[in-house]
Amino acid sequence: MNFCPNCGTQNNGNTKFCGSCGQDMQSAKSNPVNTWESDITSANVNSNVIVDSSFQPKPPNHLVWAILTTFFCCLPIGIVSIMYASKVDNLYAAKQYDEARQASKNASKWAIIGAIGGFFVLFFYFILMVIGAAAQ
Amino acid sequence: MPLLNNLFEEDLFRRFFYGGILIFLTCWMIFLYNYDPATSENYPKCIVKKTTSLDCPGCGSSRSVRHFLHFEYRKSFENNPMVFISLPFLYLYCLLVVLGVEVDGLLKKIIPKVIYARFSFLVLLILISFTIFRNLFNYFA
Repeated sequence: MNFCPNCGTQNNGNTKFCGSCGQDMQSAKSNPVNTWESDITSANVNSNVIVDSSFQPKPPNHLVWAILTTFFCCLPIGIVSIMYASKVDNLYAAKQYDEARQASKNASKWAIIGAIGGFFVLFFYFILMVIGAAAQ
Repeated sequence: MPLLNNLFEEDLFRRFFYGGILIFLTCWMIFLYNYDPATSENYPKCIVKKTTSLDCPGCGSSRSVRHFLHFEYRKSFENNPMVFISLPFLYLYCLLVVLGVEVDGLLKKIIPKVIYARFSFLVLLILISFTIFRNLFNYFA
């Protein structure tokens, strides 16, 4: 069921024009008013709060990735990544958005270094295993 | 690197990335289910353990996962309590991100605000103290 935005009459869901006043229902559906609201809800802000024009979305802190690197790559590099992840949270809470973004970049950088480092260790280990098996 | 960070704000990229992690974890679990890391010689040894003979936060994770998959929860917990507690949640997180659920928003609602604001710091604190305590425990045991 659709309600006409002009007169409020109830119409069928697939009608193109309002049966009572002739308002174009299709154009009313794609009204650009909604985009403003959806922007705010996607940023997880309560819509009752007055929107601050300097509002910045929180940069990702890559925490899940950092923890997985710590557990599975057996390298303490993952800890560095978690340190930067907590820095992202702190700086964002202190409204230092540029610094928070920088910390976020560092968090992902160290997580990548940890993952690649772990992968290379695994790779060289595998090669050494093969050489060892061939030597026997 | 800045490119990568911008990509992370794209939802689709994020979902694909976590999908990759999920596939990797699942393959690793299937591998661990079939081959025992405690008896097999073919598993890579932890570098930290080899060089310093100290336990890193990840030591025992593969044994822990194997015991978990074989429903031996007690042994799983003994080998690495952190992995035993956190890995199911991490797996679930990746799965929900791939399915397109707004997980971060959901967590913000569930977890109390005091904890949520310091969540990653708490994780860091718990991991470091866990590493210190497990080494002390091994030393005195």
